[in-house]
Amino acid sequence: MLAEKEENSIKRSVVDQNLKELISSVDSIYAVVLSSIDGHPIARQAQDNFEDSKLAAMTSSCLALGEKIAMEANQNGCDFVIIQNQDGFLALKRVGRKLVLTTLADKSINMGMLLSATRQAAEKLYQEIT
Amino acid sequence: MAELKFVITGTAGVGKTTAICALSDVPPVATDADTTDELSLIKNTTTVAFDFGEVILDDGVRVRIYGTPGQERFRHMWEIIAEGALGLIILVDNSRPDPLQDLMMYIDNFQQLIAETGFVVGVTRCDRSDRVSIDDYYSYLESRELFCPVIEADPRSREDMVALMDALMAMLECA
Repeated sequence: MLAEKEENSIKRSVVDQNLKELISSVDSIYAVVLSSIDGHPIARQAQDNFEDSKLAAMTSSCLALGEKIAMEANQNGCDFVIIQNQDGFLALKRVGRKLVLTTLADKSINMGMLLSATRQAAEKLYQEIT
Repeated sequence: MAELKFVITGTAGVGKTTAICALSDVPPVATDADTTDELSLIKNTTTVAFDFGEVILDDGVRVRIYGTPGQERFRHMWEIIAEGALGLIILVDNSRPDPLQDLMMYIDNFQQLIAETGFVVGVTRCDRSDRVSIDDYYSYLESRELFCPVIEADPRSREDMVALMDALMAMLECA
């Protein structure tokens, strides 16, 4: 039990470190959220106060739908679900079986930058915690 | 009317996804994700967006059936799914600690849909617990000034689920 707690606290610090790197890597990224695939918030980094519990549940629904729509269209390997808006972007990316990484950026971001920063963070998280 | 849309809701683990699989004449769509919380004691995956199936009636009418996520944090999907629906099936797990409380939660959350259309209640796992009887459900509904059919049903049984759907359609025709 103690070992498990210790392992969890190490994972927590690895997660926080990765999310900090992601949010500081590109100016236009203003929040990042790691949540479970079934919609529970796990960790976040944000420039301002940021409420993530509803967002975590909604990104879970959205990612699942995106993945199913891709399959229905016979396109394999859903990589990102991207929501593009007048005010900015959200990029959703699955991390392994159990996690989703969501990156929020303002409209000044270059989409390629957003996707590549999100991908790098997701891959690093996958290697370090799963 | 060539197309009908029904919604199935109820607590997590009651058998909504199973019911749609049992009913659907087309391969159903399920948006399930691995469970990572206490629900994993009961089941390995949970619906996070919706389940979808289609029943083709004898006269060629297609009934589209959407299953909602059961867990309350997915209530954003409840509103989306309820839009344009013509009827609601609420599944209640009779073996849970307080099935009437569960029923009340879904009645309250789908209040608008219930007021505008109609609903039926399917009671599952009656074989595991008889603390609450079908009469108790009727008394409860009466106390809320609601009336709808309450039917024992096994979500795995196509026959039972068709009976629920028939009851719902009869309700809608009366309304």
